[in-house]
Amino acid sequence: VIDEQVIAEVNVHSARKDLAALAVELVRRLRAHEVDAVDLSRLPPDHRMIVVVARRQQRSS
Amino acid sequence: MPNRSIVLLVKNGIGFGHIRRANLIASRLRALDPSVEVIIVSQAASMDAHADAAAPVINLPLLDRLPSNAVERATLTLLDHMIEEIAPGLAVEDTYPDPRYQSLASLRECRRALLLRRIETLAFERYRADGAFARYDRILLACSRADLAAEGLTPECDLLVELSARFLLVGPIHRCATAAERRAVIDRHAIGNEELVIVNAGAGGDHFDDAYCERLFLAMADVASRCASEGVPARFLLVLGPYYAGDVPPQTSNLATMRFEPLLHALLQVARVAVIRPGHNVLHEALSGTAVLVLVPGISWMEGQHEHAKRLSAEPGIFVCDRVDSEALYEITRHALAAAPRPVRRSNAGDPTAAAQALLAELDLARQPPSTPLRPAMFLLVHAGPPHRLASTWLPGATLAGTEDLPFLSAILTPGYAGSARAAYADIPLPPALDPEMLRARGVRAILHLDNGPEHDGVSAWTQHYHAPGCGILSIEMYQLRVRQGFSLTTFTNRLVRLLETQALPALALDASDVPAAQLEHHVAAIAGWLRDASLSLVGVRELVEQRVDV
Repeated sequence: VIDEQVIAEVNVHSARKDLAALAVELVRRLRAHEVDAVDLSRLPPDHRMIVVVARRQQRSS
Repeated sequence: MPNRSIVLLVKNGIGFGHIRRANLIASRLRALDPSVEVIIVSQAASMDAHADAAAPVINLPLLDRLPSNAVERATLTLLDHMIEEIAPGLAVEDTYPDPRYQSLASLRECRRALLLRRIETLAFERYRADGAFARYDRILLACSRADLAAEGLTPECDLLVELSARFLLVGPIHRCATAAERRAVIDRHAIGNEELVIVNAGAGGDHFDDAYCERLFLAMADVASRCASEGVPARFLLVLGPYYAGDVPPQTSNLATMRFEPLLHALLQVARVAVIRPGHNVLHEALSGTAVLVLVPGISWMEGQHEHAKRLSAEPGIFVCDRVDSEALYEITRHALAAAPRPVRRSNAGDPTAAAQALLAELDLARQPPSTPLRPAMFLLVHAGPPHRLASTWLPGATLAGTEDLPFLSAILTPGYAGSARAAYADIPLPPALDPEMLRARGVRAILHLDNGPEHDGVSAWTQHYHAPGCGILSIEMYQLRVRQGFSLTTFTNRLVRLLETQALPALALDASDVPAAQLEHHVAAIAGWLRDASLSLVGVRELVEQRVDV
């Protein structure tokens, strides 16, 4: 029911400076209703933070 | 100025209830004011909970269980930047304050509210004692007054909820099925004439490592098997929940399982019997229907399910099974199948309107400066002997001892007292044998007393002996300033300045009971003139009590 797309994989040990720009872009997408959700809950067993955006299918159809 | 944005910050470990509540409130907020932006921040392990989200969602991993400090810092930094960009006017947390949400730099100056659904009495007390409520501008209690009274609070919490203006009751919030939703689940599950037994433990997560959910579902599979062999015309549907991690019972002629039902609330309301773990959300969704309930309490985090289930079992059509045991569950399920449908609980509408309205009011406060400039304030009591000796117009805003707002304690203790004041002025030492319950029974919640003299000694000994706040009586000490030989306006102002240096809202009692009326009039006129020129506000008993009871 939900389309998901990984839009960023962030190395948590080196990406601090990139997060502000990423945050601005994520909020822009939410506000523009390009996506319904930002999901950060995927936790791979390494140093990455997976950033997923999700959109309900019925909204895109 | 902050945006007209509200972030609903949800911490949810094993269930969906907090997210459901956030969604209901988000939806109602948008309906009441479409110009308000609402964003939900959650910590859900499954995005299923957001399938019908009424607002954009930022979903985090469960912050208590991150694999490393680096992941935690990166996650919170990204969240912080996002909230900075959103610039909300109001942040609302649900039930469990999260220190990580508290410490976000982007929320430091944000107005804050806590939406608190039912938690057990001692957990509520722990919040109070730990100062958890102090971080919030408003605390919305998502329960009915009757349920709050039945649950019971410690006397200290009772005082806080009753007297503090920061606490608001907004009623339980949960989904109630519409007729269309009920029809949808009846069609989807082909519910016909047979008796439908729904078994559910919320989202299927375990509070602890006691495998509660697996034991419940396997035991109910045994119950279904036994009913089938005995020809009981009942069909069992086990809604496991997306967090369920135990063995899944095999499907049989009268038993089916499913992982997730987005219209679970409707299913619970069309069932003949609902066998549930009485977690807050599922319990209230089930209470909204007429299904006979079998509550199977488990060990829980702050919910006190056993005590709560026992209380609810006094209502018709609610059974409790204290053991997750197929034999006991079989007996109670058979009783439940034979029982009449449960009457609808009218106090359980689940309507989020009151909460949404309260949050919109908070958002307005976040965006507007106070309508009157902040000025130093004090509580000034005048004890002038018989009330007729001092007309209240002489000292606008001052409180006269012995009047309707603040009766003498000696009057309240008189047989036949029929007043309704919440506060009393201790004009006599409190008798050591005076039971605090007697005062509460007469409506008294606060005693104002002098900080000096025999009355003070008596009140002080009494409050210490009974630990008055622990008995639901607030004790407020006032600085006693006697009007006697040598008293002048400067005596008053010097003392007041000293008090204002150390207290946000000083309480001063001007004891003028022994001076002749002419002198009294002279002093009071001088004080009134000075107060007017100094732009000092005088607050009443209610405001003083609200300020002193707060944390």
